[in-house]
Amino acid sequence: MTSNASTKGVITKKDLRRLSWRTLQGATSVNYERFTHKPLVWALGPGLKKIWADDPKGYSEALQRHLAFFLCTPQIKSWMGGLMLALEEELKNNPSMDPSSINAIKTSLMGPLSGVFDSLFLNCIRIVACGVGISFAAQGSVLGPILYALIYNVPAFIMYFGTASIGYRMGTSAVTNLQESGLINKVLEAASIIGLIVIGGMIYSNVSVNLAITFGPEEALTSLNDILNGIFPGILSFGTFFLFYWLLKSKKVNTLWLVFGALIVTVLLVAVGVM
Amino acid sequence: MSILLQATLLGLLGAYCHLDWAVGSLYLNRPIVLAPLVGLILGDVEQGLYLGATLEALFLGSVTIGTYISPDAGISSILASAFVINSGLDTQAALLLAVPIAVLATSIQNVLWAFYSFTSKIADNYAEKGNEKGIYAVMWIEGGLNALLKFLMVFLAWIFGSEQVVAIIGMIPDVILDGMTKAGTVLPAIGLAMLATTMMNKKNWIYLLLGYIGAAYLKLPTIALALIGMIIVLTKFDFSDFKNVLSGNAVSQGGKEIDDNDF
Repeated sequence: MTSNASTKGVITKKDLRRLSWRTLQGATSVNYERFTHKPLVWALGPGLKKIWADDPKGYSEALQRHLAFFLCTPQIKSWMGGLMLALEEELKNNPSMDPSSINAIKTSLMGPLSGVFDSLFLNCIRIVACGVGISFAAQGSVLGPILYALIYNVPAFIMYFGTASIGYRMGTSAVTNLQESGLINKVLEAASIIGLIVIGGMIYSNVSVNLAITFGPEEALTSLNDILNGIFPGILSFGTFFLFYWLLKSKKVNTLWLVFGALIVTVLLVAVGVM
Repeated sequence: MSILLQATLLGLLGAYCHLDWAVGSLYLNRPIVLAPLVGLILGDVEQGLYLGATLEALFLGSVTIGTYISPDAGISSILASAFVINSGLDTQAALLLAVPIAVLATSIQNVLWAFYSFTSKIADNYAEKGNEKGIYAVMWIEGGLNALLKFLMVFLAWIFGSEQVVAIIGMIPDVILDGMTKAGTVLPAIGLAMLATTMMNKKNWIYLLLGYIGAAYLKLPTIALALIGMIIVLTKFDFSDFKNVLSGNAVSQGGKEIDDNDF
């Protein structure tokens, strides 16, 4: 490990733990211009104050630096904060370093890493948590919300409290590593696979589209729905899913119109006796 | 329980919808958690749980990702659940109420977040003076106002709207309510489709089919599907360089580690 400040640093384990705690306030205030920049300064603040203790001008510049645009997955803010403190220390000890490189690194990491971890947390872990939670809650069990909360938050808290020191030790070389190793794409693909499997299962258990159409003589009434389900269970729900998918993906239909449209169409189909 | 106390308790749940972002983004401001709590306040936890399952399935695809701010699932699930429990109507009637409330609540919040772009200048001034406490104060006041706004949205809607909304729902013809009940099992397909658009492609859609078959033919629960997914992922990808990359040690382009390290 080369370019990190672990030998000359003033940042201790305690400071990093404090950083982790303060990243929990990660979206206390949000605005449309720079999003969650103030909570970032809230999290970095105590560390910055320690690093720039004997340099008020440097401290003020650091505060201004981190009030720039900041938006990323909540669960990687701790790791990100650790890295930022390492870079600030490097800047303090190495006046030839370009201060703008800190925000350049922050900004270049924000996008790709958030892409990966939003997928991991919102499209994979959250979907698993919801799938499990909904299946219990739908039976009237309080385990539903409880399991939902735990499945989502146990990994989240491992990230919050386990990654500040990793970020701090990383240094700049690892930043390039992340981008060149192909790890980002691997995690993204893996999260998508798990997410899609769970979504597939949830289509079957949460969506049901049934036809009320029957035919044949009175004594041997045949339901069209039963015939269709005999071919492929829930074929209409599966088809409906792909219809919506196509409308969203290829036709770029607005979600709200889709919801209202689906409501109206369903009501009409029920009214005429098809559903 | 007096309507004032109900409104206050529901309002506090509303405030929590924002405060969740100040206590670790726990995602407890979602229908599956809020609706049962509304049920607890109004004395019908069981229906709250059913409502939670129904509304969560509706809002599943509706999450704030990056700069996309989604319709407010939290506020709308509190109010929709409360109105439905109070009116003694069917669970699915909540769907009728949830979407318009969600859109309205998000538009109100949008105004606030646009306004906060201006108050950020105050924080900039404090930064120039090296006064971090000033920046923190701006952050907490903004966050506090946001929570207050959500408290008031729920509180006032309950005080002024409860009877009217219930009366209006009572006037809806049966055929529409029947339709709503059926729609309740169609709408989750939209939420799931929204999610799929962010990750499905020509190469991996087959995994969606796998999950569907697992549930439809083998009746596997969600946890089993997720575990199968993990096994597939672990056999398909080599994650041995994960630790090295995160700790900043050298890795080769192929992803295999070069040096065994002490970390």
